[in-house]
Amino acid sequence: MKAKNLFKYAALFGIALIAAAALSGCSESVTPDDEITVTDEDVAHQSGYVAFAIAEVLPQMGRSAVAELVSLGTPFQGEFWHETVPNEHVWTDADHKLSLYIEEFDNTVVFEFDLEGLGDPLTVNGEGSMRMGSLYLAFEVIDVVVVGDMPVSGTIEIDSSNRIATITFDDGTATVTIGGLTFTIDLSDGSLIE
Amino acid sequence: MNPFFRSSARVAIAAALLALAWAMPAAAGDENLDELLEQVGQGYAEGYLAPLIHGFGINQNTGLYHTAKIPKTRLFFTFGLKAMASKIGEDDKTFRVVETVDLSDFVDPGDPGYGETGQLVFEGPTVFGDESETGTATVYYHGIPVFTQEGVTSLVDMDYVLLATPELTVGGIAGLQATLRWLPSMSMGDMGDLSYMGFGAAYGVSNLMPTLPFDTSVGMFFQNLDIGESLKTSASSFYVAVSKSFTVATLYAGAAKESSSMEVNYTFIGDDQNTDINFKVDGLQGGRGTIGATLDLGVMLNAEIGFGKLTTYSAGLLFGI
Repeated sequence: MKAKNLFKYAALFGIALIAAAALSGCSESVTPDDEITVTDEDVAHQSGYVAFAIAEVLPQMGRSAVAELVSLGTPFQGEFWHETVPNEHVWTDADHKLSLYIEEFDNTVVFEFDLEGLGDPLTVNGEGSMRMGSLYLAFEVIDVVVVGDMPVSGTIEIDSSNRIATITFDDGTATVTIGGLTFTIDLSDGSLIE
Repeated sequence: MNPFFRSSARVAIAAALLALAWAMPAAAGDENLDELLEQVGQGYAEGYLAPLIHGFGINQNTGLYHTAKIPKTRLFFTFGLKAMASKIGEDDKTFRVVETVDLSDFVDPGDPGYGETGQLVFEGPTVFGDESETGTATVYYHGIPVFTQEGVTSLVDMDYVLLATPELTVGGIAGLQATLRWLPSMSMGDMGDLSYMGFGAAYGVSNLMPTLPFDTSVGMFFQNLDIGESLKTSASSFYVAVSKSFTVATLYAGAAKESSSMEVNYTFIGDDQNTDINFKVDGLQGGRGTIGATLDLGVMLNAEIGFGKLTTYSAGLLFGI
């Protein structure tokens, strides 16, 4: 009887140990992990930087009769293809991408572009990203038309911390819209149009 | 003192010192904990030290008993070494603290954001995080980083907060027992010097109910632990324990209401001026459940697991008469 009780208690303890071992990894976190608050106004400000960057890079994609690899100098890095037969065609690919570097607030803002432009006037589609310190956002370029040195139509959609902003181009201006916020930038000098 | 206990005390203290020295690997960098804290302010320090603050408090309240049986009329002495470990999860290897700040303190007049508020984000490895990473302090204005400063690296990459201590228990008169824990001040490498003392008392409730098929006791424990020049912790526990003995083995379980806190005091050495930093953090763990076993083979071997905010492990080697 005593041996039977001993076996019973040993079995119960063994089960308890197995359960304990299974639960032993279940520690809760005791370290703060605060959320960074991101508002529509924050994303709107970030979008202004993207509008400026696109207006800088698209005019660099000039003309060439046959497909050739073109490199850009400071503040750009990287290269892209362009040709003009039968119509204008410019594009980046996996091995040839464009980057734009801008110094702001003692930080280096890095834009990366993966784009393709077709036709005359050039209509550009593609995607890109902006990194500034620990800030990172992605954007999609949708049917942006370039005439001369300016985007004149088309949109860019920006995803920052799961908030979506839209930049709409119109004859040398860029209008940023997110939620109820809207503001317009003059792309010729980056100033805010009231 | 009985020669047996004198030699046992020396062995236990030496074992505790060796266990702690082995358990605290040297940090990758050249700076100790006090030197790292001097480089950061309070907001950063609160996040950076969080697993150490809570882990040491929880460790102190671990391994407080190895049986619930306290004799009523048989004097006994137990002396030995207890070691504790609290598991650090992956989420406790990094931290992020966000504060709202006046941007005037971080940007120049005329710059965007001057006079407005922004977010100051402290983030990076905690004191036990990845040694190859360095934390940062970044100020954001409308989501744009306008100020960045480097923080500090972790002290040492560890998955457990460790502690070991000798322990002396005397009891058996009127169902009472008293326990003393003590470590002399000793160097813990880059953690700085550590000193530790605790006192507890318990009563064997089952002496009032001798027909119970198991033993039960209630007890309390109070402890203080100082680390380096900057950190002072205190911990207290009130517990109830039950146990059942089988020839050489004793199985036990318990529940405890506990608390701990850490006072942090150091001087932040800034670019323009030094600032005295003083703050207190209360431990997050308010209670725990424990299960364990003790084998009496002439010397007693004890092992237990504690369940609370952190999972804790304890093992003991005890000599007694």
